[in-house]
Amino acid sequence: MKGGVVAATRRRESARARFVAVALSVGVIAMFTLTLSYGDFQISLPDVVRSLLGQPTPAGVDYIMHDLRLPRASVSALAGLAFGLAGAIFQQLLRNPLASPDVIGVSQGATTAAVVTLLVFGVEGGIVAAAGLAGALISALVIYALSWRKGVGGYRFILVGIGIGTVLTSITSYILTRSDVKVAAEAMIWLTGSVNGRTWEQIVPLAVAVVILVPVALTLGRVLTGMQLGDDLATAFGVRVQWSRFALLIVAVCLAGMATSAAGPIAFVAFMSGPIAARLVGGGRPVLIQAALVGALLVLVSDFIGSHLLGPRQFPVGVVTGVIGAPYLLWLLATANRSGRGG
Amino acid sequence: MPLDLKADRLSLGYGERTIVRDMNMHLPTGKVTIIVGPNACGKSTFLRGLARLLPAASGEVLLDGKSIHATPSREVALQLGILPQGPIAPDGITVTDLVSRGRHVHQGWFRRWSSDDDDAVTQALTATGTLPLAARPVDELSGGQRQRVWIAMALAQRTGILLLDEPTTYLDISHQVEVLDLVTDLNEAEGTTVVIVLHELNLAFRYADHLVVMKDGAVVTAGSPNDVLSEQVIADVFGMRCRLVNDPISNTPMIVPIGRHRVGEGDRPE
Repeated sequence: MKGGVVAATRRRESARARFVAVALSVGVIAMFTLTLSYGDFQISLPDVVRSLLGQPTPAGVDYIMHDLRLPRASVSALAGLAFGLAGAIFQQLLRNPLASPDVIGVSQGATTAAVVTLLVFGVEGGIVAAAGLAGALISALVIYALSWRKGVGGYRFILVGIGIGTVLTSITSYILTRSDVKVAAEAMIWLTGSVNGRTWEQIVPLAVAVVILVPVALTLGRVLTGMQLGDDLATAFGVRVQWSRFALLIVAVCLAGMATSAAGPIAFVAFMSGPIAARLVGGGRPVLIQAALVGALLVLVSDFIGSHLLGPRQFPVGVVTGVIGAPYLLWLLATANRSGRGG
Repeated sequence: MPLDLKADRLSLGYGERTIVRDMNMHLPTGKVTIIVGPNACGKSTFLRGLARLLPAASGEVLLDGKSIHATPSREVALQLGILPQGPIAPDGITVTDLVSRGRHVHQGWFRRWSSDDDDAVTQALTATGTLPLAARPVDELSGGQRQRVWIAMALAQRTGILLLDEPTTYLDISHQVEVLDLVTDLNEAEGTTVVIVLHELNLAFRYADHLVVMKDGAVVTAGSPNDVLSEQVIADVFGMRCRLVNDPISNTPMIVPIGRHRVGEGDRPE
């Protein structure tokens, strides 16, 4: 029974990873249901279920469910999944917790493109989602190209990305200040990120993207167990390193871009989800599913706090996640420098 | 039986800079080859080139007569493993998980983790004496333990050819000997072809079946340590006078360096 140690250790680690995934799924479903049922107009659980199944419900329930709360809960869960997964892929590929799409200018690319489409060209609807996606892809490619020097190094990629992000944020602010006050107020969601008042027209493209890209990311993500050990060992294991990295980054950029198009750059969700999931699972495994679920839970919980728990005023979800994420960023910058890690 | 490994007019470099030029070398099958040379002589670059971690600028590496760059990388990974310098362990990873990564190439679309994989990992841990550490996080281990765990990871890949880039760096002398003994065990038990880039000359002379001495990206001499070494070769390659004496333990050459100080009358520089 000597081989038992290895098998037992592996079993224990897999079991914990599975348990965390199941517990997070339960949490996401619970928060999703709570978002549907709780509010100024309370809807009982049986009515929530009845309304979802299209059965008759008391007056007003269907309207509140289908026009207000279901879109809100759906976009929260979907954007959270997409941001969480995108962030974890970036961080694990570049082996740096700072390398998430909202820190290095990919989300800002989507934001700027969406704001330009909305305010400069006055176009709305599905075009904005397409523009956001294009913006994310273009900014990612620019960062990739500018940081390319015989391969892409982690730190250079991040520094270039932060620079590009700052430029894009300035452009967004400039456009907003030059625009009509009323339109600009509507476009404010692009600065903070909000899941309030989203329409199905904005949610469906994100849902389609999540349904297609999450399985693709999880399948491609299998190379991460090799890539985590560095490019040399990944190559030694037979992984096509440059191709795999490029493909995974494109998938992650699409996820982040689509989520930003639908809900704005909800601050720090991509950035926090991966590390939280890694802490929950323990060990050194790549955690993608868990990070996606943490992302969904973060957005659902933050939106619940922002809309119900902070007094009579409602705060957009991005304000709440920003308040949670900023101290974490500072802590990470402080400790990463001290221990010389994170690069 | 491990496959035959050979460099054929292999040139390697980074960008414009050529580091290894027109190298022809046959790595004796089933033997321990150790490559030595001064810093920046291209020995690590050559090893990386042999393992296709670096593309060939010209020439090729032949594995069983076939170009390694034309063979699917996964197929090569079943035959040839390498432990490069300075590998990265993910934060918090356990010894078992890290060594399991050596089984990466044996996993596939249709082949999940099996008890064969458990056995390969267990054997690699046993061979390196790290089985008692199996459940521990790698971050908590000492430098010597960590190095043995990395070697275990390379062993778990179960390749007929194993390349090791400075596997004794940062280890104290007892662990250096331990690592080289371990590699020799593996070579004797499994007939593995081993190629090591090593800094410690006296240990290299002792453990090498086949010694390769490199300078400026080319081979100066290669063969059995007893045949190819001389005080003149060391002076030419390392730019240092020395006395070669017999290692009383292994009957191989042993270097006694001669500097400017602490030197007896007869050996003083004029």
